[in-house]
Amino acid sequence: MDRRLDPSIRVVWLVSGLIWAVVPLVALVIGWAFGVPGWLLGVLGAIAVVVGVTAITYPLARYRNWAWRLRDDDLVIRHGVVFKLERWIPRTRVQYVDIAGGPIERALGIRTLVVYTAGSGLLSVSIPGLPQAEAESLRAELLAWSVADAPEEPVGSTAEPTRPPDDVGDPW
Amino acid sequence: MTTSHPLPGPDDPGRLHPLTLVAGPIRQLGGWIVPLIIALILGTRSEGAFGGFGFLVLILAGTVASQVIQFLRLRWWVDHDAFHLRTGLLQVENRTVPLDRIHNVDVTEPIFARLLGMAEVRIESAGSSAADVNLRYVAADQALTIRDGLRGLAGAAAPTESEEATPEDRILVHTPTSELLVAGATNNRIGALAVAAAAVVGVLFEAGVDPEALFDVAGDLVRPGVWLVVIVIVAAIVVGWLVSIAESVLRFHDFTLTLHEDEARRTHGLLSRSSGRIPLARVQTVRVEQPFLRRWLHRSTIVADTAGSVSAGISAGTGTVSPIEPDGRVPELVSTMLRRPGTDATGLHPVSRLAIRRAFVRAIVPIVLLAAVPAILFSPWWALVAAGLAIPAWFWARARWAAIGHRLDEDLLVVRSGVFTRRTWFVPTAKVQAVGVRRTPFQRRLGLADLRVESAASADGTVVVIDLELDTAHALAERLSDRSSATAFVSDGV
Repeated sequence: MDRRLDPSIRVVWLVSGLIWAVVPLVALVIGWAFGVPGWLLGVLGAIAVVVGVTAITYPLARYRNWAWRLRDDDLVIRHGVVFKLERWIPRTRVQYVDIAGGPIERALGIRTLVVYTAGSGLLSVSIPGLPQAEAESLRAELLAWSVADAPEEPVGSTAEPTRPPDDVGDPW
Repeated sequence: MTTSHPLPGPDDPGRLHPLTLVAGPIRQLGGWIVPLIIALILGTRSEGAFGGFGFLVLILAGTVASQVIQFLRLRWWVDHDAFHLRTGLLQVENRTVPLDRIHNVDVTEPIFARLLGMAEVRIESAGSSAADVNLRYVAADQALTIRDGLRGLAGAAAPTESEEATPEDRILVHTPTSELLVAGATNNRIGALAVAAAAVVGVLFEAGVDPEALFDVAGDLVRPGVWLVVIVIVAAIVVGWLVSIAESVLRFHDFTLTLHEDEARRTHGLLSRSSGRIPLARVQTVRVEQPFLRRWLHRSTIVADTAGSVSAGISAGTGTVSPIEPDGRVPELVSTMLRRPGTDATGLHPVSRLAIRRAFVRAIVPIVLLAAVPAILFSPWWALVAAGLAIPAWFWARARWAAIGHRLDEDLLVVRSGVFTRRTWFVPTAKVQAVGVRRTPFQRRLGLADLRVESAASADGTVVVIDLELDTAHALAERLSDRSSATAFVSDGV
């Protein structure tokens, strides 16, 4: 069963996307103040509209395409709108875990979980949009495996997170 | 091991030393601090430089401000099973490193920190070549307490290594100089230029243009000065080729790889003698490379990618196993480096034939675009050039497809790809860190996907099999994840 991100992550993505939309808007205003020819203003305006529309619709598409699942042996995630990416991280490969949150995320009560595997800290996988309790519980589960454990024994899953999972009909 | 330890717990977390506010900016600005201060002093006296002065003040203020935030916000503590670190003001980060994942703890004292009575603690997990946790800076004696406390809790032991050569040492590789001449001569850098030149001449020939006539025409139209330039370019290529040969000989002179217990030791070099060690346990992948000229001569280069360790003084990197080796000896050497007898690259499966179409389209689109400009501006005959290039583009796309092969055994993944340089990777499943499947929009339409296998090797750690059928990619990913999770990853073991 796939788990989805918290819907409020769309707000975070929307805000950061809109910051990008400000750039052509500012260019538009400056251009208008300096009496730039009309057709150029039109072009800038069109760019601003395109960027703005993308900034609003892209987070929605991104949210629809984000899913993850913690299985007995590994963590699986999939995301991506244009370029689709799926990743498998065996639980025995998790070295350490970060839970991070910017100001907007923390105001909305969500966090990003970053999972690190071996290799100069560059191999990491992030799951954004996790409610804080869910992030902490996922972290505890991922770190529950220890080197001393016999590798053949499957790591049992603990209590399910509180949000009901959505069935997306994937043959996973 | 006692159950209580003198390290701060969750209720009373540790912080950085206050003098970090002095040492931190010094470290961040580094060598710039002295000229910066001089510039500031001069700036206060001169009026014209106000803008620059303001900018410098901003830099210094920004550095100090970030240090202040770091100092005020950083907390660290140890509980019964992990080391915790919390940093950040706007972006808050909580890092949790389980004690049994801690591979090593180091204390270092950069000079300015030492003068102020402080030290840096670096905590490193398995397979990292950079520290995963940096405490900059704490009081020097507290640093030692942290190191000893964590080492005791983690049970980490320093690896011991013997230095003397024992009679059981086995020479794996000894490269004669004649072979090094071949290595330098078959380096792809020069070969690619020659191939490109030959390809252009070949295409013109195919398109019905006589190269001889072309030179005559060019000679009439163009001033003699240009021919001088052409001669100089040709001479530069030839000289570059000779330099490449000389460089190979000098660098790898008397290359010797010796097996000493579980470590491969190499020495090489004429002017300066280099040596390196490859502990076999640290090998993540073994790579066999064949620039195409070398392939014709049935020779290969063998390279081992290793995970690093700050404590053992080994950086993650790429160690040459053999600069040039006859193909016949490659399986034996790869088997030795992987400690897996009988390893070879036979029986590889191809990927989907749709990969040819995808590669062809990717090659032809830039050709068409590049030909469109002169076709519109000058003459439509340029379209003929594009059409002419389409044929070699298709051959190249097909060669690219034919070069890709993969095989997943119980404990080993073998991947081969590349036209100009053929590469074969050998990745033990025990060294796989994570697996990915990636699809571009074009691949999605064709039902293809790339398989990306990540190991703890350095920059080249990701092995990619492109353009597999989607079901095959998923099946391989599941099997790899399954086999990888069945083993514990301990960078010094396995």
